[in-house]
Amino acid sequence: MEVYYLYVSFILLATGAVITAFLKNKSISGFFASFFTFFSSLCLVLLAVEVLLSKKTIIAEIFTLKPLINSSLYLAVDSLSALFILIIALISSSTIIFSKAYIAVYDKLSPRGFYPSMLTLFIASLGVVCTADLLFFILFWELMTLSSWFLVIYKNDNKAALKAGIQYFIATHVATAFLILASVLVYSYSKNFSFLEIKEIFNNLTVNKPVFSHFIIFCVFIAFVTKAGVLPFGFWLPNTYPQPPSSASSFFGGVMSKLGVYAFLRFFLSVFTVYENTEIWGLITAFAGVFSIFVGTIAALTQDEAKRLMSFHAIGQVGYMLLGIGVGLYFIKINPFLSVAGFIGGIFHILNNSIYKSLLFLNGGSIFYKAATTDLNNVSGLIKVMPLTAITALVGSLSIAGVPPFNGFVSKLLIFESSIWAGIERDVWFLIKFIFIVFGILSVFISAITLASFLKFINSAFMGKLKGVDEKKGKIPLLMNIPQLFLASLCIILGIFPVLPLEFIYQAIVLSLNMSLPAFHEIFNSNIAGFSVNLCKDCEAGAWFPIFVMLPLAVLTLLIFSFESYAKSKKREVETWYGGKEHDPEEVTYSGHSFYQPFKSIVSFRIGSIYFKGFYPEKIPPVKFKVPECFLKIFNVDDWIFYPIVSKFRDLISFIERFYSSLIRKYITFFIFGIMLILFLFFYLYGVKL
Amino acid sequence: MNLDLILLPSLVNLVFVLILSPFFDGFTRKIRALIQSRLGPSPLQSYYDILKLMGKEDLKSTINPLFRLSPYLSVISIGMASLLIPITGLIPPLNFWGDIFLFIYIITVVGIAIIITASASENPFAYIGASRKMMLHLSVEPILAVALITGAINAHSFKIGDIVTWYFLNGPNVSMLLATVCVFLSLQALIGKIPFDISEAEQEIAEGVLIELSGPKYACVKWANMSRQVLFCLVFSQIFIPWPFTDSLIINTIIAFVKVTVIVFMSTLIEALNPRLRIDQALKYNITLAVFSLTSIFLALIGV
Repeated sequence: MEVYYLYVSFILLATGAVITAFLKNKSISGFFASFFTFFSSLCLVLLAVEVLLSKKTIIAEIFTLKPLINSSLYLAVDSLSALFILIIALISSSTIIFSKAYIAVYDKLSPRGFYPSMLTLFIASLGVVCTADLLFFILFWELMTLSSWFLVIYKNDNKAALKAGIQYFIATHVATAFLILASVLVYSYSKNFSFLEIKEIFNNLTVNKPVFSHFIIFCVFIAFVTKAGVLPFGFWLPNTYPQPPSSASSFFGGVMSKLGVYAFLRFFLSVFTVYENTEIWGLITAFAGVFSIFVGTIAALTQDEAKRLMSFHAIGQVGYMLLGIGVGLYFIKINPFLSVAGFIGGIFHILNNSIYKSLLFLNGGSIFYKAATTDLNNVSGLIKVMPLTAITALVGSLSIAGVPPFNGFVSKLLIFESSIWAGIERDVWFLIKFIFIVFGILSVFISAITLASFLKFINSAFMGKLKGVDEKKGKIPLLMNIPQLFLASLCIILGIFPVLPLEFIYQAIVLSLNMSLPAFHEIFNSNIAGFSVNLCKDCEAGAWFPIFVMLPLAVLTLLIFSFESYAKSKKREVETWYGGKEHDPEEVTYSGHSFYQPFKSIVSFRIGSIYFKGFYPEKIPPVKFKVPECFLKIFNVDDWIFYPIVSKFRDLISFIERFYSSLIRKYITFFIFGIMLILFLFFYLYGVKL
Repeated sequence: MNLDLILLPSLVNLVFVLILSPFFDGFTRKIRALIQSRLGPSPLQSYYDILKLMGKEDLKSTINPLFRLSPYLSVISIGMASLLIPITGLIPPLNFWGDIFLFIYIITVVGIAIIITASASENPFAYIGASRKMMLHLSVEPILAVALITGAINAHSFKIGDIVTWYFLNGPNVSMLLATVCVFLSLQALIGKIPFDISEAEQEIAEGVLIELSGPKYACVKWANMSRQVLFCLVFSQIFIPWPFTDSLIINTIIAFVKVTVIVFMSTLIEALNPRLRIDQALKYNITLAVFSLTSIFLALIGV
């Protein structure tokens, strides 16, 4: 029954994509796109809520390729998919409603390049989340890559966009190639593309062919990690994400890169089986995560362009998710309590991150709408013209930095605690303990850096004297403000009531892992006000009760403000004081570039000719190889086989040619004599009497 | 959870950190004056200052609404952080509802409040101060985090109450002593006093973050700074040197008062006898200390 919600939303999105492909008028096109996306999102929310509440898996086989190849389009919506469907529904309708007003900024470009790709991207990401068949998974994955690629090169007169498009195309297709390789290898054993069959085969493979199974996992790892933007495979991300219109970047940062993590989870939890060597991949995942947390976020601190800054944070935040998931994978056999806490932290971080990351990209879009640039050195004081955007950006920034009581805090808390708790586990090697603890401490430290770089964003874009605003543009349209307000309020609600999402995520993990795990109430002692977490049996490790903590805060706030209003001091507006000198504000501005200069110089250095700005190579010079001559000769087949043979052959031909060219008459004579000879032989042999 | 066990300690903590803090500030001023062979003001002078500033004219250099709100947030969040410190007994009032990460982040909120106040004031000096404040914060936060995590590893819990209880019962141990040393070395940076008062340097950037503040806002930020001194002295004395603790609420509070007075005295000595560091020197000092403090985690893992 519920599967019809899915069909309806697919059909609505497809209709929208087709209709908008023919419309030239921006507002009509935008209206249709928003209309169809909004109603499909409604259907998806209904579906997701139904699945999450009933704890069942919806399975439907739409069509099969059985006579041709052992694959059929299975739709399987379990709790894990439902969570991601919820994310897709929320973010897609927010971004598309935002686009309706926002796309007017690009007055030279037609909406026909934008809306159809956008709606196709929604369809593709839904497909990725819902299919339970490897072949169709790859098809939807590829559709997602292609439609997003069209969005990246939407500004087709812009050189940077085209360059980024090429980089994106190549990087993601190399990743897809790995995925295809893995699928072919798996198919050669399972003879079936369905996830269930692969899982059964994988049980045998891990025992009989351990290296082979590791290679398959490796291919899958590379493919998904590249899409998720984990460094060093995510080198394309900071160049690509700023290029499309902000609403598309918002969907990229909020959903598309998270689908990489979804696919990772799906494969590691419900396609590959959990066995002894899973912990190696847990460690590798955690390491990759921390590497991109560290480099991505510190590199973000050095950026001056708002959307590029956020793209680097997209890399850093994916690292947090992978750290949580890595801890989960490592400890799944050793301590299921810790493992589940890590998984829940990682997945909840995906949910939270997709909300605030898309919110922040939308804020970037608002800035671009009003100032035609997102360079933090050229805009400031925007809170005076767009107060709602400024407040929502503040909420988003505090959430991404993990400040309580916003949603980022809950998931980061679980990630920190589970990775540090590794040090207390008994059956773990000493060095591994230390590594996980250092991972935890690094992520705590980087959390402060995240805060620093977003305070820089807030301070230089919204605070200070008003600068860089296009006066012709009026107020920010209501349609652009509504999605931002909606997402910002979600950040606060999820932060204050974290228990319900935690329960749903727990359920998703249990259903897709299919193992015996400790019950939810054994891990979390929770009530409506918050939760405390047990990281082993009956040992309460940490706690977070947002509502109880908010109570004293509210009382204190009330006290302080009543004291202030009691004091009744007079208020007067004055000019800024420049230490007694007269200055124009332009002379003494403190631009975004000046923030944290001493810290930036500590984390920037030069190795050879490459300048590392915040541990991230700023410009990689073209790589030049020099191979020894003899080595080149071997590969130069032309030189030592082809040309010698050809020249000999030519000599032969020219030798024969001489007969042709100089002696035509002789040749005719030879010809006649030859024929006579043949005739003679012929007659002689058959005994014909002349 | 008995409400009596939460309400009264909460009240004591709030009074200790928020209401007594101007007294401790007056105490430091007196000591500094004595070191510099001056007579100095009375220890209650800071109370008079705050009361006077509350009634003074409130000058607004901007229409930014955040400028109006965020100074008060700094005092509020210091008050919140005080509820996570064990003063009256081994268990702090908020122990059941939050852990060390909540504490670390509430302290971060204090910084955020002051930074946003500064940048909302539109003054370039304030911007410089805000930038420096953030850098100092992110270099000093790991040291406190590592010290608290060392405790968490030893005590097998992230709750401050459990850490203190464990340390109180199991005596001094090497890893915690090392963490204590690291926290003591970063105490001035945590408090934001000389040699680390770089973000509020009077001579270079005209009090930086505070330049545009006046009246009740200035009073609030000043009050928050004074309370921060008491808060971090309490962190040092109650979490890292949790001896002696008795069963009596009053005696515990008096002991805490004595300990804080001693630490404030030491911190004042450092303040009076040292020059201010440059921001890059301070960053290098803090980062070196943070890397060094990882040793304490190593020791905690060995189990000493």
